[in-house]
Formats: sequence, C-alpha cells, structure tokens
Amino acid sequence: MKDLILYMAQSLVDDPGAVQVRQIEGTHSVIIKLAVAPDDMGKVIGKQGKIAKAMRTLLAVTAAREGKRATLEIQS
Amino acid sequence: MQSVEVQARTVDEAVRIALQRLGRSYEEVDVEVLRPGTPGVLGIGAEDALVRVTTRPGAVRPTIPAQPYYPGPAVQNQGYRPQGQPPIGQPIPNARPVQPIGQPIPPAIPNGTPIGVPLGAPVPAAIARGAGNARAFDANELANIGREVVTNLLRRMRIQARPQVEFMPPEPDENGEEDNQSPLVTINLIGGDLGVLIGRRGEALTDLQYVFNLIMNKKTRTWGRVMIDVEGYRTRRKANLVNLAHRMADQVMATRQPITLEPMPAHERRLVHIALLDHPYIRSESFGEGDERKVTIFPK
Repeated sequence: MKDLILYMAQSLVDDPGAVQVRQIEGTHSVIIKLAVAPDDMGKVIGKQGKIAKAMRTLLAVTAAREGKRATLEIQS
Repeated sequence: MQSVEVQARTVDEAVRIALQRLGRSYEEVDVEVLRPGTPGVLGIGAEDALVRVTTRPGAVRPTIPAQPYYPGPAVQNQGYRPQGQPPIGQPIPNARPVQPIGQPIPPAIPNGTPIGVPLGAPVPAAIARGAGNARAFDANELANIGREVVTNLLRRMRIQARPQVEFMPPEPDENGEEDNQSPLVTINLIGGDLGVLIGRRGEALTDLQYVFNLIMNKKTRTWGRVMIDVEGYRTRRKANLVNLAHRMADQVMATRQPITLEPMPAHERRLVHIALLDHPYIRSESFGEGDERKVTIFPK
C-alpha cells in the first residue's frame, strides 16, 4: 500500500526526491502518511481534493484485498 | 425473457454483476431483492445480498454485436431512424451528413501485429524523465507508455491483469468534426475478479483513469488519449447508453415532453449527445454542476 502511494505521488510531483511515505499498520486498519515538498502539495491534493480522493479510492481497493481499511493522510 | 440470480456483498454490487451478465442496462430489467444482506460489524455477521434480475418482456432488442473497434464500418447502427420516418437509405430532411467513421487509422501498425516493446523494456530516457518535452507522441508510443504506467499501478495494487492494447478509430466530436481529444488507444485489462477495479457505478475505474491521466500528462503532455477499460466494461456501457439514448428519444417524441437522465460522468454524457446528434427531431443538452450534471433530451 505504501508503495502504491509512493509510486503515485512520485509520478505526480515535480520533486520526487522530497516524497516521503510512512505506513502505520494495525490489525484491521492501515494509516498511510504522505509528505511532499510544499510546492507540490497541490499536485497530490488537486482542485477540491480531487487527486487525493482518486488516490484514496485506489488505496481503498488495494487495502480491501487484504481485508483492511486504509486512511491516507497528507501532511503539510 | 432472461433471468439471473446473483449473490454479492451488497444489493448494488449484485445488481451490477447481474446487469453485466445479461448485458442489459438498469432500465431494461426488473430487480427483485430476495435478500437484502447485512454488512455486519467489521465483517462479522455479514450476509451477502441476493437479487433476481429479469429482463423486461418489452425490452427485447437485437443484441449489439461486440464490435471490435478496429477498423469496421461500425457506427452505421448509430444512425438513428425514428419509426415511421423515411426508410433507411433515403435522406432524412435536415439531417447532418454522418461523418464517416472507421476510416483508415493514421499512423499505427497493421492490425494483429504484436505491439511495440515488451513490457520490461526500458522507456526512452526522454520519456522517463517526463515533463518539459513538447514533442508529439503517436498512438504507438502512447500505448507503450500507457501500458507501462498501468502495469506499475496494478502491480502495486496487487492486482493481476493482462493489459490488452486496442487502437481506436477517430471519433466525431459534438460538431461532427474529427475529434483530436478523443482516445487513440484503449488499454483493456483482462483477468479474473476485476470487478473491484470497476467499483460501484464505475467509480473505481473513473478514479484509476484519473490518476492514470495525471501520470500520462506528466510524461507526455497529453490528456485523455489513452483510455483504460476493464473487461470491456466501457464498451458494454457505451452500447447500453446509446441504446438508452435512442429509447428515451422515442419516448420524448411520443410524449413531446423532455426527459432528464440520471447524473453521468462527462464521457458518458458525451456518448449520449453523440448518439442523438443526427436525430432530426430531438436535441440534447447537459445541465447541473459536477457530479450532478445530467443530460436532458428535448423535442426540437
């Protein structure tokens, strides 16, 4: 799950080197924390959170296959 | 009359699967919920929903042959002929000339030839670096980059699917001109159990396409020229929408009352508008904002 978010974020931002992803694993849930360069925030959030929403959908599909719920947090 | 019973996690999901199996749209069937199902708590005590979906007797129609997009004269069956109106072959008053579709496809490759570089092959540095390069990409290059991107996404989603590349004939836009925005390539994902990639009302597929478009845009500076499909879902949905549009048009003509369809994403509304473009007595328009935007069909 972490690698999915990492791949998407790095593909979308201008500064892939600044992308950091942490994964906090629980028994039934997973929290993914994504940090990008300040100038790239818009690239992973999008207008009205559209990009973040799409990434969350794909994350949810992936997590569901492992029987988990996933949360994506984007850190400022 | 056909009938299927489907069990799935939710009623929506079961109905969707049943419609897929019957190749019908929601408007053409009757749905009986045999068991509503319960989600349970964290998956404990969950019970699947069970529905019976039956095609309506009135809804019998010629099955639309699954048409390979390439190169065929296709589109002929989209030319609309209202009942009791001039027979096929005669000019319809005021009708627009139909833009010939299925014309030779520009650059590409002879049909059936295996496409481009194997998946593992390195992407040219200029493309891998992405951004900045303003040069045009042809359908073949877009197909290869697209396949690379979608393979990367799916691998990380732990989904096994085979990407199958199809080249598309140019489509007319809403003015009947050849559209340089429409997809050149479809990457159809084939594999077992890919329903999760479609999601309820195609939501997962829409979001997959969106993320894919963003990544493609970063790499090629193009938008929307490579379409992702899952097990031909879009193709089936397209046939259903065109059919729906024509049936609703008949109804509008019969009643002289406008009909508003349910909210649809942009590309689906576009299909409805295009299906009714050549209709001599009907016009269509979209109203509303965002997710609530709907097509309304009017008598002319």
